[in-house]
Amino acid sequence: MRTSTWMAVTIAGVFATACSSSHKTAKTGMSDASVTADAGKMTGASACSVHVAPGKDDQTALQGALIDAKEGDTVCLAAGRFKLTGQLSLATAKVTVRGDKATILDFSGQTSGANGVEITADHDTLDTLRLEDVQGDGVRATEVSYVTIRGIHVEWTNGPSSSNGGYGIYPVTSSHILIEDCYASGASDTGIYVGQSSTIVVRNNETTGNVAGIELENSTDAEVFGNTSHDNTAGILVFNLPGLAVKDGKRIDVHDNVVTSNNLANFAAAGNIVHDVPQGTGMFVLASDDNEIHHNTVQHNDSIGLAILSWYVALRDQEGMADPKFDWYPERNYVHDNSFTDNGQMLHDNAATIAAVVGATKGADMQWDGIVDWAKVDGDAGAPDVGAGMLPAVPMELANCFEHNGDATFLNLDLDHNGKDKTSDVTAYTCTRESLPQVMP
Amino acid sequence: MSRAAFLALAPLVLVACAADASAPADAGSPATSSGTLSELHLFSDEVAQKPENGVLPYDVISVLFADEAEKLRFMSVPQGTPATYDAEDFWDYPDGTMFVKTFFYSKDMRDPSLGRTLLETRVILRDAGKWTGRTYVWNQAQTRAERLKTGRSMAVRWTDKDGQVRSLDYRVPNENECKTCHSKDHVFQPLGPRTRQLNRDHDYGTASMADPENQIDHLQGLGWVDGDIPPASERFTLVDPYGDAPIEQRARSYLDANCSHCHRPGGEAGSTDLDLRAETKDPSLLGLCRTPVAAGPGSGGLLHDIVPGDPDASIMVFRMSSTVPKIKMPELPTQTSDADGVALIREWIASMPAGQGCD
Repeated sequence: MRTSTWMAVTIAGVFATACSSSHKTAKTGMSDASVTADAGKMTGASACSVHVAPGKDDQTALQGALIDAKEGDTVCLAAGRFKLTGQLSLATAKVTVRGDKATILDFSGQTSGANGVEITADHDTLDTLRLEDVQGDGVRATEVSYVTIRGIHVEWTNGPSSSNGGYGIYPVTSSHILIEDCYASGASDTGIYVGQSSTIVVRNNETTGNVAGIELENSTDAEVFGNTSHDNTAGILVFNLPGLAVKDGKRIDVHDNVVTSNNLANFAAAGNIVHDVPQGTGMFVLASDDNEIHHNTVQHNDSIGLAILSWYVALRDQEGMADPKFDWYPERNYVHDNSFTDNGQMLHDNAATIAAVVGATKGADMQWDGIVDWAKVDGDAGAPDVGAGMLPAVPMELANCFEHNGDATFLNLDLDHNGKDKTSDVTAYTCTRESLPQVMP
Repeated sequence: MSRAAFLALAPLVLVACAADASAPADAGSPATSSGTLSELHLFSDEVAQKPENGVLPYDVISVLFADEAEKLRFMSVPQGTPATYDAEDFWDYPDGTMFVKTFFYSKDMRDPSLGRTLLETRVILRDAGKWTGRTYVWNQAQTRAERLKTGRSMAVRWTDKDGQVRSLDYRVPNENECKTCHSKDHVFQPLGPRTRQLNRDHDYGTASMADPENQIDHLQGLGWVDGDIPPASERFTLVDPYGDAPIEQRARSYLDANCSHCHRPGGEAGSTDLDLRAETKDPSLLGLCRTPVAAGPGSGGLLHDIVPGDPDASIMVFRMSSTVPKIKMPELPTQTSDADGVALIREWIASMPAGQGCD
């Protein structure tokens, strides 16, 4: 049932472009979950405690209003262009900052602060604002809970550039975060990036023209659905990285998203992990377990449709080894009922490098690097010997399952043996897992 | 802000809406200002920065760089309710405690007797078990300081210690930004008045044989701090970054004072897992051969925070040297790069054995 509901979102999302309009479009003819969201918006549409309009010193006026806001207040921003010279800091709990569809926060003259809006208090809401040309990250929320970021449009107006800020919308070490009906474009790292957080819903957003559209990094219990990620370098990424305070992200439910033509040349500054993500990536899961990827439409991504990858593929062994608690292997991921079309037909960057290692010239809709952490099931015995030209069956407690993905092409790279026994037959990897429960942000 | 001041705001807002014009922005308006420094009764002569009885000057060992502004520091702990000493972490101070820091530039740093320009006085006070921060900005006439919540820029000119005439748009942070640095797990904390920074001598200007005296001993003598306090030589202490201690200690003392308020567990940048406190031992937590996670353009195309032996390949040096808001470190609130600090960190990184590098 959930599936059919969110198929409707997906279809609406294809036609919707801008953040706020996609909200309205996506809600048409919807039931249950969307009505809840709408009801949330209705009750959230509280009376304005204060109005602020653009004037001669927008930085002082807006920051003053945020400092003076009391718990429960709603700070309303009029339509028009606010010219800001520094970041805006929201540090009081239970405050809503709400704009008009035509409210623009123009950070092109920003000379201080690394963020556009920084949220450091719980139960805050940002609603319907357009942020342009922020120095660093658009919206950053650090160590907060129950924060809603709705209808926020973050854009670098000069288009893709390595000097653009890293993230459009960036909650980190936080929990119970809802990001919906937003739009992010031009981020030199990721449009919507959730780091080291838990209990997250990312729904009905559009990301385009970023290096990564949406990324969940070292995060647990998230639902990512109804989003459209197109024309980024990579569409949707689920990562675990070594060397971070919060480890072992898992249980990300990525469903009913449209991931199309993410073939933009990578423009991230070197050093950042996303700099290594190949141009033409639809989705991948890196070193993360127990995720469910289903009912997505993934099409026309040059290098990869969806890949399930171990940390070896990141080609950053030393970093992995420096963190003894880091688990390099993606396990028990469940990939089912997706629609794949025309992915992996023209390899770029690291995707070409890895393919060369295994002797492949093309990718596939679905790929797995084939690396199994046998030590988890048999101590130090290693992979069982099942004879030449054969790959041993992966035990169910580790296996990634691929099921009901139509006529999607598949490739097990057998990277462990440089592709010696690579296979495009998905039969041995077809299995069923339980679906993840719904996440309530 | 007081209830009265909040109510006073309402009519202005209504006017602003009706006229579709700016919200009030002047420093003197209720939206941005309430109260004067003199209302706190900290000084017997505010302009001369002569403290009132019961308000004590103090110094720290490793100074936070603030665009070369000089600082005067004062503290006051209510009599009869001593703070509780902590060897490494924040002391537990009683309600009514105040810390005061006045930022100024000498007109000519070569000769302080030629006068100075007072810019702002920051006050951290503890009330009902919570710390809050306030900022008071000095007027042009240098006669009084008024509270300013929203921050502002102030043009300042001075002659530096080399005789160069310098100018700067000095930036007073807004009061929310105070919390960015002054917090651990989102709880406001004063940063300087801790064992590691206070454990030094101070000249209290008395005729006593004991003067100059160790500050913590002095506070203990006054009954302002209590607890299990070891002798001065056994306390965990920073060193003067520009003194004659070994480079490792000097650099680590600099990072502790200038970076670790955010780059520590529970700090604003705790999620980076870079821990620049002086007690950190793990080289990876200090940034050695560590790759950036969320630096974006802040990486400068470099691959590691610190490459031992190679300052030019180290993101730490790159970001400390920058004045671009999205790249520079620290993020707030300085406008210039700390040339002495950069030189110190360069010397430290250069002194590390290069070994295999980071590859």
